[in-house]
Amino acid sequence: MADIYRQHILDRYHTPQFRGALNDASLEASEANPLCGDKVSMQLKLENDKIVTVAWCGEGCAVSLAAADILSEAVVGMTIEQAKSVTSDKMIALLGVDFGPARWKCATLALMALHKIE
Amino acid sequence: MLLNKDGDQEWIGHLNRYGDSLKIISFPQISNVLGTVNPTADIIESAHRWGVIAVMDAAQSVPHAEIDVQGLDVDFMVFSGHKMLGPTGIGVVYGKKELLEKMEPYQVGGEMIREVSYDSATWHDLPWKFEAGTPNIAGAIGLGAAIDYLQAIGMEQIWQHEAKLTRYALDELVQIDGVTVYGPADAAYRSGVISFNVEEVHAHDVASILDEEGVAIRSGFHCAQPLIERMGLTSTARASFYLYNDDADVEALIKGIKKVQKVFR
Repeated sequence: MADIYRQHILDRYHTPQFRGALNDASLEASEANPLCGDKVSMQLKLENDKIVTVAWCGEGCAVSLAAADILSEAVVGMTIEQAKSVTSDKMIALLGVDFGPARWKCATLALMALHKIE
Repeated sequence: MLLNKDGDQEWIGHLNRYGDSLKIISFPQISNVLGTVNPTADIIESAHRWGVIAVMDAAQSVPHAEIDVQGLDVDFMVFSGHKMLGPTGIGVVYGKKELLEKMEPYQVGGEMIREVSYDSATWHDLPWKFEAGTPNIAGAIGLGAAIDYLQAIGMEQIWQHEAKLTRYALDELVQIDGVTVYGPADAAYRSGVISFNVEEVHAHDVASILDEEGVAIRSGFHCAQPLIERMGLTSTARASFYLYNDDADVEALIKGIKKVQKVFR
């Protein structure tokens, strides 16, 4: 198993940049992994069909929470369709770490929440 | 299921409060989350006083200790093969004969019938009544071999070996700042299961880092979400010992936890 606790993952976990709540969210969705108890909610604010602000909240392991923060940064500027077309493979590439199957669900939890947005 | 302030499980209090309305009580002999050794003889006696059928989950105890089923007077007992060095897909259901005789088959198929006509059927005797279809032959032979192996070593010896490792691990764990251990403080009421958390680190992250260090533990709800939530937690890390573990494994666990703290500092 590769070392998944690279510095950038730990930094995002300890000092997230997008953690919080929006008062004026246009869209939001949550996803939970009932097997482990991790939960992540994503909130998006749209202007002219583009994502201008993102906030997430939740509880879970370092991997799922760092992934939520990194995904939040990645989707700013995208349309909602573009954001929802981010694949699991792309999510793993954004994280820059080779997560084994045991942590795949943690790494893609925030993305699954994003995919649920309608 | 109730918890007292020590995280102990108050089965008897539950029986005394709700005994009138209960028909069956199902409880683990040993908690798979906390390692608590429940006072099973008292629970069973109390259940019988209320006319309640006692069903005991022994999946955590039979692999590790000598269990006197008749002595406990338990009505039903269950355990699984894969937790005692045996194969998956097989386990044991013990039941008192007079209760099993009153019960209808839950499954129909080959071997469980005596006579079949167009509009009726009669069932075979015990135990065939409950063993419909082709049995798990390979599984039964494998489980038999596992039981022979464990008995040749001796269940009391296995229990003592795990008790020694558990005491050693508990003594070491409580000395680490930032580690919380759950379950009874007194090792005499524990089996070889230790649930713990490392401050500021999610149990999955603890498990992942320990895994990299060659230490396999479990993390999460341990199939007991209501208990974990009742304890006000979202997950725990859980180390467990068996006959193949030794002091070096405890040392690797302690070293691994210190690595966890270093990574997350």
